[in-house]
Amino acid sequence: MSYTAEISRNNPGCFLFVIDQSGSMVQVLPDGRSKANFVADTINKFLQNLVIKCSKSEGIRDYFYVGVIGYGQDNKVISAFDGDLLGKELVPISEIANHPLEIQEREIKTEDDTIQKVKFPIWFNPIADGATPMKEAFVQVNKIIANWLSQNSNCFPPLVIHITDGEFSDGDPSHEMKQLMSQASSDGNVLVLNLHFSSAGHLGQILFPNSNEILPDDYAKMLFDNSSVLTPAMLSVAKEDLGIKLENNSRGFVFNGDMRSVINGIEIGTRPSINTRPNKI
Amino acid sequence: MLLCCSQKNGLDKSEYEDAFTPLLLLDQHSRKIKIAIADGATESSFSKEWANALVKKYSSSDFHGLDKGFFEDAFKEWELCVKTKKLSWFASEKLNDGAFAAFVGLNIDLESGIFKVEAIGDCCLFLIRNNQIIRSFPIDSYADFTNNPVLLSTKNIDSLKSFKSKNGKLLPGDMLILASDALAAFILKDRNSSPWDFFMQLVSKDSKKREKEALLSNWKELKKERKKIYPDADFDKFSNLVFKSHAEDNKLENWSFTNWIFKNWLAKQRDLRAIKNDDITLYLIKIKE
Repeated sequence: MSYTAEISRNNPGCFLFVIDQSGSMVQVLPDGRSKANFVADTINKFLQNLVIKCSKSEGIRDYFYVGVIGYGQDNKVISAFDGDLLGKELVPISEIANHPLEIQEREIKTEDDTIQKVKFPIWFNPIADGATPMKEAFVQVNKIIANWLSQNSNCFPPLVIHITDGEFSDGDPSHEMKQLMSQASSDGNVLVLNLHFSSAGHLGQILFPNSNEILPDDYAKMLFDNSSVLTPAMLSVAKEDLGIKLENNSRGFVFNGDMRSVINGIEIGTRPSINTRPNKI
Repeated sequence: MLLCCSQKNGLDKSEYEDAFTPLLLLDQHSRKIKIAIADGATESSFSKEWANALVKKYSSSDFHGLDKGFFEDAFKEWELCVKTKKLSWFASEKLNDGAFAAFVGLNIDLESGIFKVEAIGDCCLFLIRNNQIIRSFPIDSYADFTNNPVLLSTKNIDSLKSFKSKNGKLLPGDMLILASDALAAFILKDRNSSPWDFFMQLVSKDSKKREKEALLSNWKELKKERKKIYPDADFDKFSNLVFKSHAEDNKLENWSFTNWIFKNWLAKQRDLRAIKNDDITLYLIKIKE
């Protein structure tokens, strides 16, 4: 049975975020943040939560390796990490834990409307500049994942989460995305989620469809065709944890999604891997 | 009485997160026995320390019941252990979530044969009579083991309310087993094929001292005798480990032949996926016929 490999320090899991850092990501969302800011905050928060999940009294256990690849500025595709992690592609979670770029203090409103100061470590800053070299991004991602799989052939299959707000500027990345989805460990094929989001709010959202018939254009269809079918564990997370009932054969694809949809996509994609950690994680 | 334990496969012994009442603490002549095992949740931090604090408090002579005093004393013990450590940003954050553990405690009056068992989570007690499980507590079906049992939390004294308890009476020849969840699930899954038969073979009258003397001076005889019972065990590998340890750091006292046999059997069960890869703790008490 696929997607059942136990994740451990000897057999770690892998998450790779591929984020659009093009100029259009400067657009402002309903909560006042730019899309770039929202994506950076969301992934930085994800990293914080993952670090804490992997934390034990003696230190961090390297159950996962994580990468964040950005594409846009100067038409380049590079690791989005900054500071001590500058230039690093896939990093063990312990290294992420020990090298935040900075630990900010932010104010949040609690349930009883009081303001609380919380620590917010960040590993990269938002960028919104340049074109959208999506094809080149997936050329690089293929290399990163191929290298990972060559060293971890029995791993729980890597999960690639692609977050974009626009169309490619360097050519159709279908071939590269298909190539990525055809890579596999002994436990199954690489999983790819494409989360396309818009500042237009709920208008025209299409969430995790199981068919491309309702999709409005060829670009949406391309992203749908190159998104993985959600695994049973992912469908279960969607239903049990997030209250989202999806059909079988639903794909990891969101079109014109809002902020909540992007967050849900990340949760649906990552929680099954985190939940295959032994004993009550 | 038998006590065996093992950390998760692939991890170091120091990463074992269960806790148990040490055999050394038990008065061999006492007519009362009080033992416990606890299973620290892997998800939480400092869970081993929490499991240890709970077992220590339960096993102590001033234990009066699973009440607010018990919780507060165990919590103070845990907090003292944790506060001595200098914590990174993530360890501090994790600490805010608290520590969690499953627990089962057993109190036996050997004079009257009355016992009381108290448990939270998925550490279990089995009462075996005439080779049948006649009591399985607090879980009595393999299907009831989940990934999210209710646990005792350092953050929530109200989690004490989730403790369940039961009394019973022992008869001569009865056997009691305390087991952490992975082993408990295995026992329940295979209850009709008497999986405890293997554990009974391990109950030996040999004291650690005699075992050590036999290991050093009479290894060949011991090997010949034990090979009849455990034909698949790699005794040469064991002897290499024991003698190397003794020569290098004089830590032979840390070795238990019984536990080593248990771990060999456990490794096979894990390879067969009959037992989940988790910390394992087994306490077995056989009442005289």
